Order: sequence, then C-alpha cells, then structure tokens
Amino acid sequence: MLALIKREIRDNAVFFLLAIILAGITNSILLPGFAAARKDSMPVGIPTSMYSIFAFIIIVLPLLALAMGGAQTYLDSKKKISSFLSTLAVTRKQLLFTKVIAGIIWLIVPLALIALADIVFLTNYPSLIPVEYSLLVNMFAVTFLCSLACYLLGMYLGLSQSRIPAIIGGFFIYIVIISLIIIKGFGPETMMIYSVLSLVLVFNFCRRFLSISL
Amino acid sequence: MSDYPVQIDNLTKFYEGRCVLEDINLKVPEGCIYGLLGRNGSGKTTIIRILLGLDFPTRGRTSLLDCDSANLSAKTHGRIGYVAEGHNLIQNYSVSRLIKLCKDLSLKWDEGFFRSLIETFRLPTDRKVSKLSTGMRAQLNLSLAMAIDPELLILDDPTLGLDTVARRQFLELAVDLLQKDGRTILFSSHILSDVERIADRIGVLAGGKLVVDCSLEELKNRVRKLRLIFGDRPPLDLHLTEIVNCQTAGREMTVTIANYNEQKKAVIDTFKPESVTEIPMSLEDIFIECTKINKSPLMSV
Repeated sequence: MLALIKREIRDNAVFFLLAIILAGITNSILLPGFAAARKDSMPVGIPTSMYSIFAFIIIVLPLLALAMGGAQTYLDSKKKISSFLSTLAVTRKQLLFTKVIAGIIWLIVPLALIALADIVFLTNYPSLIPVEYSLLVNMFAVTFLCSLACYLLGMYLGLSQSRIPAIIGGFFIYIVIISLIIIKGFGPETMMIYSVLSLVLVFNFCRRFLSISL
Repeated sequence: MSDYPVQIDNLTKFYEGRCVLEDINLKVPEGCIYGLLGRNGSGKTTIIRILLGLDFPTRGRTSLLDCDSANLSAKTHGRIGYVAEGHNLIQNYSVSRLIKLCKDLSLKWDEGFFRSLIETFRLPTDRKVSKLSTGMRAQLNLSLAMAIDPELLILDDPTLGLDTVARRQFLELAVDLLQKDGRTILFSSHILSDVERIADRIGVLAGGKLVVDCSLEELKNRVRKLRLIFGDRPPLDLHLTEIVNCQTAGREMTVTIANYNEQKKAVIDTFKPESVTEIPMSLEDIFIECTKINKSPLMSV
C-alpha cells in the first residue's frame, strides 16, 4: 500500500511542486503585509492580511485540486497504468484508496505550509488586536473541504471518455463549488455541504472506478 | 483447491451491441499448458481480460484459482503472472523503477531468478521502458511475471509484434521456463506454431464461440478432410453433424469433418461416392478450417 501511495506522489510530483509554489507565493504575500502592519502599528493589519490571503488560496487551490484529480485518473487510464497495476498483487479498491490518500496528502502540504508560516509570523509579529483563531481554523477547514470536493470531482471527470465536455463541465462545477463560500461564508454549514458533496463524489467515483474496464 | 485453476462458465460478452463472446465454457486443468487460438479480434484478449477482472462479462462467470474474477483478492493476484498483449508496462518509468515497483507490490519475489532472467535477456535497467524494443519489453514483461513464481501464468499473445528471430528466441526461453515446474499456463496466440510448441491442450475461438477444446493430439486425429467424387452431382446435404467446412465443385465435394468415425464413414458410404480420398491436414490447415466457421462447438473432449 505504501508503495502505491509513494508511486502516486512521485507520478504527480508536478502537482506537489505547484502546491509548494502556491504556499510559497501565499507566504511571500503574507510576510510583507505582516511586517508593514507591525511597523506602522496598524492594529487590524495582521488579522486582515491573514484573512484576505484566503481569497487567493480559495480560488487557486481547488482549481489545482480539480486539475490534479483529473490528470491522475485520465493519465492512468490513457497510459493503462491502472490496468497494469491491477494485474499485480493489488486490487482496484487499493488503487482507488491510494489515489484518495495521495490527494489528501497533496491538499495538506500547502495548507500545512501556510499554517506553519502563520504561526511563525504571529510569533514574530504579535498582532495588536486579538486574532480570531476560530475563524482562521474554519477558513483552513473550508479550504481543505472545498479543495477535496474539487479533487474528487476531477478524479471522477478524469474517467470520462469525452475530454472537452469533462473539462468545461468540471470548470463550471468548480465555479459553483467555490461560489458557495461567497454565499455561505466559512461557517459550519459550508463545511457540512462540502463534506456531503465530497462523500457523494467519492461514492460515485468508487462505483464508477470499480465497474469500468481498465 | 479445485482441479481447475481457470474456469469459465457460460461467458457472454457484448461490446456496443455486438456479441464478441457467446456462451463460452472452458476449464483448464491444473498443470496444463492451454493454448487459446483464434484470429485477430476473435475474443482471446477479451476472455483473458475478463478472467483477470480488468473487464466484466455481460453474462456468465469466470474464476481464477477458485476466486471469482470480479473479486480477485490481492493475494490471488499475487499468485498469477500476466504477460499482456502489447506489453502494457508503465512506459514513462525507467526499467529499474518499474522493477522496484513490481517488487514492492509482489507477495513473493525471487530476486536471484529475476536477476538471472535479466542477464539472460540482457535487459538494460537504466533505460526508459518506452525506449525498449518490443522484444525487450516482451522479455521484461515475462521476467516480471516469472519473478513472482506464479502458480498460474497467463500469456496474452506475448510474441505479437516480434520478428521471427525475436519470437523464436522468446519462445525458446519461455518454453524452458514454463516447463520447469508444472505450473498452469493459459497462452493465447494467433500464431499456431507458437501454441503447437508449448501447449498440451488447445481451444479455438471463432465467431465468438469456442469451437474446439481438446488436446493437441486429439485435434490432429479427429479432424479429417475428405475429397469425395460422385458419379453425378454431389448430394446437397450429407446429413452429418460436426461438418467443419464443405465445398463442392462439379462432381467433387471437399468436406472437413470433426470427430470422424466409423458411423460417419458409413453415412458417407450410403451416398455411394465413386472415390473417397483423405487429404492430409497440418495443424495449421485444421486451424484455418475451424476459424472459417461460425457454428456450435465442434470438438469438446
């Protein structure tokens, strides 16, 4: 199982690199904001920098997740990798499980890097007004769940035979998914909706992956 | 464990409304080298893919090593070696990376034996799989399949795309390896001589049906081609079952009959032919005759 997870990560190294670059960009935007806010003694500057950065992450990370999910399943099926792997001592369920695990690891990487940077920045540049930690946690959770839903959507669409409708449809659904945050915010309701959506998508992906010709 | 590592019961498969396999029944006994023959597109690969759980039947059931093909466990997969048609290995991997992956994912791995195969085949491990020739890919695929010391080995047209020399070399090495320790082998090919060299028993697929399923010797003995010359026009119907092929030209009738015996000879004699001559048939002739037709099973012993 570990070998399969390692294979997924290595085969999708480009996406892992992109996720790290995304975290780097986010942190490099965040740092000057923190420093300037502290220097000019802007009491709301630090929390505002931290909250506003999510506007950037929430757009880019789910889009990347959608692309990674799609590429993972599409390329596996095109290059007949799943077909080859499932003739080894591996079951389809294991293949499916490792793909989802690799996706979750991929999502955790940039979010963990950003969270780590936030902790470092807050330690070095303490905010003059209290930071809403619960809001920050919600923001991370919603971003994770939203990206997970997009990743699973990408995996599902990657199995489609017709590429162009899948890409257009996927992009349209992606807009609908991230729009939910504008409507509902970062609250528990949004988390609940994304969790249900992720469950539905993972169920559908399982059903399809376990019944198609490899 | 049952005596039949490969079992197919009433297998039917439709592709886009077209029936590619119809009511196939097949049992491969333990220790047997079974050659599955058929022309290109006759359904050999489809049968193998269904057996391995890569595809699903429309109707019927298949099993490998007593495990339903649709639910093969990782353990069962680990006991089966598979050489795919076209050698669909992971093309963008280097040979060494692919070997490591297969090793990590195997339940049993005979490193010494595998290394000896790699050396025999002189396979470059630093090259990308996509840069290997078709022959080298075939050899790598066979080496990977053999390294797990499989109880059951499935070879799907392993010599497809190889030139005559490479094919001969591949088969000679394969024969040595296969005959070592009585493992069960299902070997598909459209090249008769390949199967003839290896198989104990053969099956012939034609028109989506398994028209022959018997031992190689039996097939040679039981299919006869006769040239019948009649005084007048030949009869429209010989009233015989298991006629593989029948052609008439003037007073002459050429008929190929499966399971030829005394009763069938007696039936032919009732038509009073002026002469009956047996035309010797090679295995290739038998195969060609068998794959011309689209009828019910001819020989199943």
